Amino acid sequence: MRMSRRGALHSSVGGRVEVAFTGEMAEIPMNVFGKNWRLLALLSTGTLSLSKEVKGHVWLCGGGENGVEKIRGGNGAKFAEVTNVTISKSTVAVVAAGNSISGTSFGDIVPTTDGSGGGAFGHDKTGKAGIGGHVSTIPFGDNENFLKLCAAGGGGTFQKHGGVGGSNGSDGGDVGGYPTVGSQGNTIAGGADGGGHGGKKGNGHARESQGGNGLYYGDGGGNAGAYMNNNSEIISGTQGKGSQGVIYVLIPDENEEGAA
Amino acid sequence: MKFAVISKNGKTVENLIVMKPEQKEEIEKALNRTLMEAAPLGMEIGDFFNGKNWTRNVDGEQVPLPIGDNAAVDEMIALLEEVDAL
Repeated sequence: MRMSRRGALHSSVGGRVEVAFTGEMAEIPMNVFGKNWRLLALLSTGTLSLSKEVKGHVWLCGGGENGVEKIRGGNGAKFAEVTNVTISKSTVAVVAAGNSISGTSFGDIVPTTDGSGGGAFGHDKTGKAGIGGHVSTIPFGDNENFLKLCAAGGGGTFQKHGGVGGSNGSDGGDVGGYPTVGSQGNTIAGGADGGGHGGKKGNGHARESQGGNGLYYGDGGGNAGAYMNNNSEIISGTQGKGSQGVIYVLIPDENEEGAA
Repeated sequence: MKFAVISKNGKTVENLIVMKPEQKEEIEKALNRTLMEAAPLGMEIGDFFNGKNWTRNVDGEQVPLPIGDNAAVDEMIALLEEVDAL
C-alpha cells in the first residue's frame, strides 16, 4: 500500500477530484468491490474538502473502551458503514480518542452498531462479559485490505481465568476455569485482530497484572488481573487502554465514476 | 493529541477526540464547542466542572482531577506493595 502525503492538497489531473484534509490523512489506492477506489483514511479530526461532490462509501468507528475494572475487558468501539452516500464538498470529520466508543462522526454519520464484547473478569460475582453487535467489524467486508477492527479486550484473571475478548462483533468470553493454585496463570487473549490482553492474576503486586492496550482502531483495552490482599480487598492492576477511532472514506478513483 | 470536547454549558466533557494542537481554533469553530487538552488532567467523558475544579464521580464522590490513574500513582502503589510484602 502506498501512503500519501498526509493532509496535503492532492493535485487535479484530468478531472481527478482534488482532496484536502486539515487533520491527519493517509490516501491509499485500493480495489474494493471489483473497482478501483481512493481510500481516504482520516486519522485525526479535521475538515475534508473535495473539489466536487462524489458518491462513495464510509466506514467509521469510535475509540475502543478501556478495561472495566473487576467487570470485563473493554468493549470494541461502536461502528457504522454507509454505502452509496453523497460526500459533499466540505465535511467535518471528528475522530474519537480511546474510551470514547461512539465519539467519531463524519458529517451526520455516527457509529450505531456495537463492536465486539469484552471478556469477563475472572470472578463469579463481578465478572460479566460484554455483548457484541453480531455484525462483522471488517470495513466494507474486505478482509484483504482491512483488519477486523473494534475487537475487545480480554478479561483479567482473579479467582478464575478471565474470558477472551470478542472479535468481529462477537460477545466476550465468560469466566473460565480455576487457575493453577499458586500460579498467576497466563494473560488472557484479547479479540483478534487487536483487542488488549487481559492481565494475569496478581501475586501481591498489582503491577504484575496490568491489562494490555488495544492495538488497532476501535480496539478495547484488556481488563487487569487482580489479587486479594490480607484485608480481603480485591486489588486490581492497571486497566488496558482502548485505541482511537478512524474514518475510512472510499471515493472513486479517476475514470471510476459512481459507487459500486 | 487528545482533546476533551466541553459541553455547550461548559460543565461536562462530552467527547474525547484526536487532533493536531494547531487546529484547536479551527475545530472549536467547526464543532461550536470549547476544547481542552485532555492529558494533563486525564480527562474522560462525563467529567464535571463544579465551578472550581474538573471532577469525576468516584464511588459517589466528585473527586478533583487528576486522580489515581497515572504513572506516578501506579509507582507509589507498587512501592507500598513492596513494603507490605516485607
